[in-house]
Amino acid sequence: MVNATHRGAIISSGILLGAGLGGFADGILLHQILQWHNMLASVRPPVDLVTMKYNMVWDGLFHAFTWLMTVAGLARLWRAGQRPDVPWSTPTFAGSLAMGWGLFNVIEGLIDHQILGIHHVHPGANQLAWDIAFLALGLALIAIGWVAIQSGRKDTTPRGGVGG
Amino acid sequence: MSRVSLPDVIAVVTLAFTQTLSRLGGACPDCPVGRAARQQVAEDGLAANLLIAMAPFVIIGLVSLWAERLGKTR
Repeated sequence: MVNATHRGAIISSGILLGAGLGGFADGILLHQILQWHNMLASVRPPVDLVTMKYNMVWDGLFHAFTWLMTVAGLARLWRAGQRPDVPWSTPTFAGSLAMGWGLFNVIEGLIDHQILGIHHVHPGANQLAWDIAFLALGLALIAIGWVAIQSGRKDTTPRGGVGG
Repeated sequence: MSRVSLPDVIAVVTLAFTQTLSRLGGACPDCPVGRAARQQVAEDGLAANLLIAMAPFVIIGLVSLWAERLGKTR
């Protein structure tokens, strides 16, 4: 059997998919269900129907980029699965998903919440605490992902060799 | 004490109902509210806002490319 050691392909796809799914979690849970914030809520607060629709457009564009990220991750995963030198490792893939979600929280949190301030996780009295909690969750997911990826280092079985 | 007549109640309820319907009808693809929202999107720094919305995903895409190269067979 081929010794599959090209982990980069599966890590790369996991990061893209994790970031896409993390973006969807943010958009669906925080933007739509809980309605804590919208994409440009601090630029144009949604106080009437026009500004709500304005923010809905930007939430939609955010979801469009999230969707593209997910599609890119799926395409990479499909390609990785066809290669005999890519290990089909569950810890490596799960860790990459966690890392992708964590990267999304940290990068989006730093750019949108901390640097530009176009919206905050939960605007109001404790908005900085909520923003920091969002970043902390991201860092925790990156750390969990890193540990999981390291634990999958010894997996060298390609896709066709998994599960007998 | 003045009494409210049934026709008055019906008139108020009907008015509220039709007003609500007309408001709901306002949230449409091609209506004054929709046009105003789209105009604001177009005139309110569209390119800059697009770049801002895209930036985290571009950065994560670059990180994933780096991870792909990092994990190549040695």
